[in-house]
Amino acid sequence: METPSGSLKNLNIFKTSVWDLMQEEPNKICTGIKGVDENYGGGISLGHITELIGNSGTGKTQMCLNLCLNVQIPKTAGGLEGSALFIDTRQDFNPHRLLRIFQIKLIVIDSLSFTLQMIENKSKMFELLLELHESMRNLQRTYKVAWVITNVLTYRVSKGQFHLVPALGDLHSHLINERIWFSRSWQRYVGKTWDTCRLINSPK
Amino acid sequence: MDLKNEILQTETGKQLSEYQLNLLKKNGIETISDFYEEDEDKLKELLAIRIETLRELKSEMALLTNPFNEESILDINYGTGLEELDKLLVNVEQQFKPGRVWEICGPTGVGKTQLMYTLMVNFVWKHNLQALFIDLKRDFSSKRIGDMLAARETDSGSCERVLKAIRVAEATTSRELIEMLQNFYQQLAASNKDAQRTKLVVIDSLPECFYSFRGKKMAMLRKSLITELACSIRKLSVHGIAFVVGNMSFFQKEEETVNDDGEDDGGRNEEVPVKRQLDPMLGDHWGSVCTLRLSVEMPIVWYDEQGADRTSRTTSKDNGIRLVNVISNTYGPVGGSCRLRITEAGVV
Repeated sequence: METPSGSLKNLNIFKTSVWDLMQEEPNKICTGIKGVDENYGGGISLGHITELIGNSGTGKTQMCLNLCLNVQIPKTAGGLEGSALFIDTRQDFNPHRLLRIFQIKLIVIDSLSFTLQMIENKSKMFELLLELHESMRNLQRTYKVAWVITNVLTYRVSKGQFHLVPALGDLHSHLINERIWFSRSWQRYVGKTWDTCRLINSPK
Repeated sequence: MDLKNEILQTETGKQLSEYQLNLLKKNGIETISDFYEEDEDKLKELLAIRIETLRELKSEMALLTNPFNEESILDINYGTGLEELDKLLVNVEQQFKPGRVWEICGPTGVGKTQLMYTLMVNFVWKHNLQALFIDLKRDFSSKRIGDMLAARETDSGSCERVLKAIRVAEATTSRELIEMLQNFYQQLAASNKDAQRTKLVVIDSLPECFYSFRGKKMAMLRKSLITELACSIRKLSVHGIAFVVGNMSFFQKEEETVNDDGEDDGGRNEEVPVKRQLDPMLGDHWGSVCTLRLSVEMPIVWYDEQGADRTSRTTSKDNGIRLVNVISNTYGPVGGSCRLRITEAGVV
C-alpha cells in the first residue's frame, strides 16, 4: 500500500501522474462478461467496492462464483493468482470448495442487503451499514482487495408513486465505487442509478 | 504589468521579435489578461509561431510571477472549456479564475465526477499547467481520463502531456487531506517546481471522509475538521490555486421508504424539509467556504407510465443531458442554469 496513514510528512503529493498510473500493472479480476470487462478495462478493480444489483435469479451469485474462480488464474496466464473469500449470508454456499485461503484478493458478500434487511430497527441498520463501509475501507487500506457485494431492488414511495430503487439507501450508493445492474433478460448495465446507467452487455 | 515586458522575461518570449510584440499591441492585446483570453489559434496565426511554443510561453508567463505576492495573475480567466457553462458563468459574474473555490454537488451517479474530470482535462490541456486530483474514495480511474482523451482523437504527444500533468494523490481520512494541503503549502513556500505549476486542485467527493463522524457527539469534531480544512483551502486559494470540490446532495426526507430502505442522513441535514429539494451535505458552514456552488441535476422527466418492473425496460432513457444550477455565488447573482451533455469525450 502506498499511503499508510499518518506518514505524509515526507510524501511528495505530486509524485504520481495519471501517466504513471496507466503504466502500472493491471489489477483487474476478469468477470467473463465481455461488455463488463471492456467497460472496466479488463474486469473489476482491486481496491474498489463493486456492487451487483438485480432481482433474484438474474445471475448475481453466478457472477460472484465466476469471480471467485477468475481471481485464481495464475500470473503466467495474466491473472492475479489470488484467493477469494466468499461470505454467504444465506448459507447456501459450501465453504469447503474454497480450501486455499491465502493471498486473498477478492471478498464477496452475497447478499449484503439480505442480512441488513433482517434488522428491524432502521437507524440501527443504517449505523451498521456505515460501520461496515468503514471497515471495508480500512481493510482496503491495508490489503489491496476487491470487494464485491450484492444488493436487491426495493420500492420507495415518492409523491404517491412507487419507484423501484436500490435497497440500502442513497448514501450507500455513494460509498460504493461501481455498480453493475442485472436484469432478467441477461442484460448488464453499468452506472450508479438506473436513470443514468448504460447498457454494456446483452445476449445476442 | 506591461504585457511586452512580461513576455520578454520568459525564455520563449525572448525569441520573439520586436515586430511580433508590436503586432499584439496593434491587435488590441495589451494586457496579460487580454493575452490569455485571446483565441489560441488567432494568436498562433498572428505571431506565426507553433501552438506548442505559444503554450510554452503562456506557462512560462504563469510561472514568472511569484505565487506569494501576486495580484495580476488573479485576473486570468482560465475558462472551463465548456461553452454553455462559460456563458452561464459570465451571466453570474464568476468565471473560472485562480483562487476560486468551486463546489459541484448532485445526487449519486449524475455525472459530478465526469464534470470534474472534464474541467481538469480541459484545464491542463489549455494552459500547460498542472492539476492535482485528490482521491478520497480510491476511485480515480486513469482509464476514464484515457478514454476521454481517446474520444477526442488527440495525438499521442499531447495526450502524454495531459496525462503527465495530472497528478493523483490518495487520502483516506480528513486528517490526511488536511495534511496533504498543508504539505502543498509548504512545498509552495519551498519553491517546489511541481507545487508552483499546480494551479488547480480537484477533490472528489468530500463527504467521503466525514461520514464516519456520525451522531451528536461527533458533530463537534466534524465541524472542527471542516473548519480546519476550510482554512487550509483558503490559505492555498489566496495564492491563486483554484479548487473544485465534489459534494453530494440528497433529496430531503419527504419520501417515505416502504419496506426496508431505512436510510437517513445520519443527522446531517437539520434544515427544514423543502419539497424535492436537493440539499448538499456537510452543512451550511461548509457552504460559505465555496465561492460558487453548482448543482448538477437530472432534468425533470415526466413519468407517463411508471411500469412496476423497471428492470424489464430494454433501453436506458438517459440521454446524457444534465441541468447545472448555480445555488450559491459570492460574486454575483444566484439561480442561473444551463444544460450540459455527458459524452464519451467528457462533458460538453
